[in-house]
Amino acid sequence: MAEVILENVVKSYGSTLAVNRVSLTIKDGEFVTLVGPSGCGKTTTLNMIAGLIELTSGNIKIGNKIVNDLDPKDRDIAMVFQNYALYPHKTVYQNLEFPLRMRGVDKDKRHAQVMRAAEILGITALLDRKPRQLSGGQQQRVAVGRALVRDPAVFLMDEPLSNLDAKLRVHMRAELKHLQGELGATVVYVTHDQLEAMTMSDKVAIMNHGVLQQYGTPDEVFHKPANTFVAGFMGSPPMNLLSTMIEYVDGDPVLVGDGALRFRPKTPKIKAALQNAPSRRVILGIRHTAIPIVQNGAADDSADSVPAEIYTVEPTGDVTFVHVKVGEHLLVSSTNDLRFTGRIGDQVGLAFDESHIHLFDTETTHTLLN
Amino acid sequence: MSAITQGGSQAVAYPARRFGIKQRRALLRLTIIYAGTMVLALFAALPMVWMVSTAIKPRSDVFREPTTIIPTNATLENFIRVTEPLTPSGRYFGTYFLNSTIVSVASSVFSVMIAAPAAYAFSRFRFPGKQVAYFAILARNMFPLIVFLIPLFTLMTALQLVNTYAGLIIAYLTFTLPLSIWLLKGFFDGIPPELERAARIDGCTRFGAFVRIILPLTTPGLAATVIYSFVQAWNEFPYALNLAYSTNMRTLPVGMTFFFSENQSDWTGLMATAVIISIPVVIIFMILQRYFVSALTQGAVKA
Repeated sequence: MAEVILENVVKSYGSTLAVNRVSLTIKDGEFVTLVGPSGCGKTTTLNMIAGLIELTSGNIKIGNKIVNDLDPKDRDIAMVFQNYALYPHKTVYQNLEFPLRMRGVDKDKRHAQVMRAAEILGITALLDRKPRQLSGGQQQRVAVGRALVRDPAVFLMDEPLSNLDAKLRVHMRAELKHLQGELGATVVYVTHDQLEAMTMSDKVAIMNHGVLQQYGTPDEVFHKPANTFVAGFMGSPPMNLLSTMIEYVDGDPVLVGDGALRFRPKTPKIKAALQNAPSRRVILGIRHTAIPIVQNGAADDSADSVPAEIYTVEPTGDVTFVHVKVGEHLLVSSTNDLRFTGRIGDQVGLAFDESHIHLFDTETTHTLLN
Repeated sequence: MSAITQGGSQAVAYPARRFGIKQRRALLRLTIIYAGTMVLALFAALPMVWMVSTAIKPRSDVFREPTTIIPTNATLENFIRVTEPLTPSGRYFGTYFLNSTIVSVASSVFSVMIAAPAAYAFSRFRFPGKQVAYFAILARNMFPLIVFLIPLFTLMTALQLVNTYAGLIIAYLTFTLPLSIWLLKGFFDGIPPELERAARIDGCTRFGAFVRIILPLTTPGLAATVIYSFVQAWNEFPYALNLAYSTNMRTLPVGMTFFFSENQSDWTGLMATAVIISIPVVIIFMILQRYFVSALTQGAVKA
């Protein structure tokens, strides 16, 4: 196992920058996920770590050795592909054996290692089959098996779960994470699914347009998003982002949005952030959990309650998402109240939980807090 | 017949009209398909039947009336006559056969050896002029063979390759390569690039991944390339006639023409030779046929 370090890694195709000055440190034994929308450069970054794509500039180190010019085979990595990339003309056994055979491991040792990997993944019964005779889940296991059969320094995984059906995906997610913990493996994992990133990773690297947006623990990127992109990407439904103006009432800043949206912060930290804001336009970010519905909003006399109109209601069983309109703003709120009876057009109130609000600069989209 | 009977008996149990029309349509479709197939089969098979029939007739029976398909006095005498080194008609058979074999085998081997890497490059790599080069290669097949005969002859004369195996083989590659490259590119396009990426990570060089993973998956395409190139070279006539005209360089198709000039239209000898010439092609086809069929169908889907 080894540490992986990316230093100012750049990949350009002509004048387009696919990956723009990405720096990351992936510690030994960490599960790090690169996440972002399609075309954000995450797979390109992974392929550069693998050596399948050459760097335009920057350095990649694996275990303190610069590997920029090394062939994939000399980097001591293993990779699991989205479509599994099992060799169709070889049996499962031969697929698992291939990386060992290529490295000149002798026959007895090869057999022992193949059997060990097959046992870990529960595929001993499938060893004589060809890949096309396997189900998607079984193929996925074989692909993982081929990666772990030779104890590489780093595992690279490119959306390995996205071809599985929803139920199996949840199962394999848990299994992969368990396996990683047990082996103490260093894993770089690429996905576009923020839930996968949140649930599996020690650290998440969020990318957009080839630029690293934020790198931190799932907790950090969820609760302290560095900018509006991260705020909108992590979490489902995404964070509400409202364009507001700072106004002053009795010397205190008040955020004023469209319609009846007014929010007067009380905590000194937020007040200070607003007073120091570079422009009067700021983006107010708030997750659905931090603006719970107050059923009889119109009658609520709390000064902080914002009147809203129900746009649509989405019950999911344990949580009910309520889309509401405040002026021109469309927000998602939620309630755990199973007896919630609101209907489209009903007037309700929203209670803003001040401890969970986020503020972003309109120009740079960076956070104004911390 | 059984289908009709079945339809009749079931018409009692089911609404008669619906079932009857369905069944009649199916029957009509089958009839048309079978009739068409039989016409095509006859069209293809009759000349061959005639060839074999004439080849085993005594020379005196060829023009006897009424004409018979199955000869009354079948004989193998013609085969012996055209292959026997001591007879005037069989004198050069061995030489021609050897020439044909050398030229055809070499053409098919070089076709695969050149077409496979070329097709792989066209399938996988980006390089300047790729589209133009690909089109230029395919453009060769838009013209009839004979158009290139004079330029090729001039070229081979300049290179002093007239009446050599190399000259004929190079000339044959001009028409076997375009189709081979096109066919194999279709195959490579159908193989996900992740397979060779996986192989490179698993310990192969780029070339190693090509040889160990990609080529085995292309076996049907390679087999098709071999068959196509071999058959084309084996049967080719105009290039062989003009680029390899000396007696010791002639190929079998060219050699066959001398049954007319030397022996005043020796039909039985000609047909016996034709039968012998067909045998290697038939054998190769029988061995590689299943690859050939899957290659053509796969290529059709993926192209």
